[in-house]
Amino acid sequence: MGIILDADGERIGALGLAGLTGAASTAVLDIHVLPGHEEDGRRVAVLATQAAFNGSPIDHLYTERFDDDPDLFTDMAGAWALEVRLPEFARVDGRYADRLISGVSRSEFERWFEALPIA
Amino acid sequence: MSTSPTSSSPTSASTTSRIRLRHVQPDDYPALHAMETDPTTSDTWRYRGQLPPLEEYEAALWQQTTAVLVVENIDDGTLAGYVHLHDVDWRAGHGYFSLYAGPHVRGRGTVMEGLMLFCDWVFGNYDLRWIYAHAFEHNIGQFSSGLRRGEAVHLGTLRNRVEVLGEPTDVHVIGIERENWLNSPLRARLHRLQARR
Repeated sequence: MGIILDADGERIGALGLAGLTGAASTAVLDIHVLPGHEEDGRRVAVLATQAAFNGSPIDHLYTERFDDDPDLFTDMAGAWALEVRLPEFARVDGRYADRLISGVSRSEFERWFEALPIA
Repeated sequence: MSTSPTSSSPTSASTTSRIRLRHVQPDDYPALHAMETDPTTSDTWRYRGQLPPLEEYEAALWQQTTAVLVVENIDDGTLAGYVHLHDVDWRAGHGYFSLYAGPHVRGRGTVMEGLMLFCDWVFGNYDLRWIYAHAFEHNIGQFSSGLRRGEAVHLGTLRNRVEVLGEPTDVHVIGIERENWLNSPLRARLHRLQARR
């Protein structure tokens, strides 16, 4: 678990990395930021993905969100990909929201990272 | 574990010409436990190779579980397997189901027939909108008929989600939606056949 701070040191979100039962080389990455801080959240998502793969023997990362939550992983298009959509999974704010599960493998992330102009 | 207002009054049993689906009884535990010692499924079934001893089996069986229904062969009264409803979120209106087929009936469709009765039982007794199942890559073929006919929907694939015998394996997510099931030709046919007997 970690707290996300902005450049001024204000708390703007949190993130966590948790292992999956029965799956030694996979983990779930959760990142949440306060409304208005989505750009910071997207930057953190890249750093957190990189840190997860660099700092542990994880081969596959997953993340879950509702369809009306901001997607913080869009800066890594081509790496993270939607794997499962559970339609009308839960009632949120008076409407049924889909649950989206996305994943990225170590090799997919490495390919994406190596293709960056600065890499 | 969550409980439903209707969970104390489920229907008792339903049948086809081959099988009976009924609630598990404590007398069934030794047979189910013996079935689950099958080494070909021990790594992929819910205990992930750590099947508890019979004395602890009941508590393990009911963990996060709302209902356990056994599939019984009508001919001889032996158990073919079981279907269980677990990880139910009553507020959201969804839950998960798992199927276990004993080694002596695999490939015969016996427990999948039980699933048909199970769907009717679940949606007839509980206010659930969706039930989901996770199927390993080597088991996804069991759902092919339901996916082809449309009673079940393939909602996606969790790539390399779990390790089986040290190898990463995909997990397919299958969903069965309430209205889709209630209006399915398969259900109508099931009821016609049941009415004739």
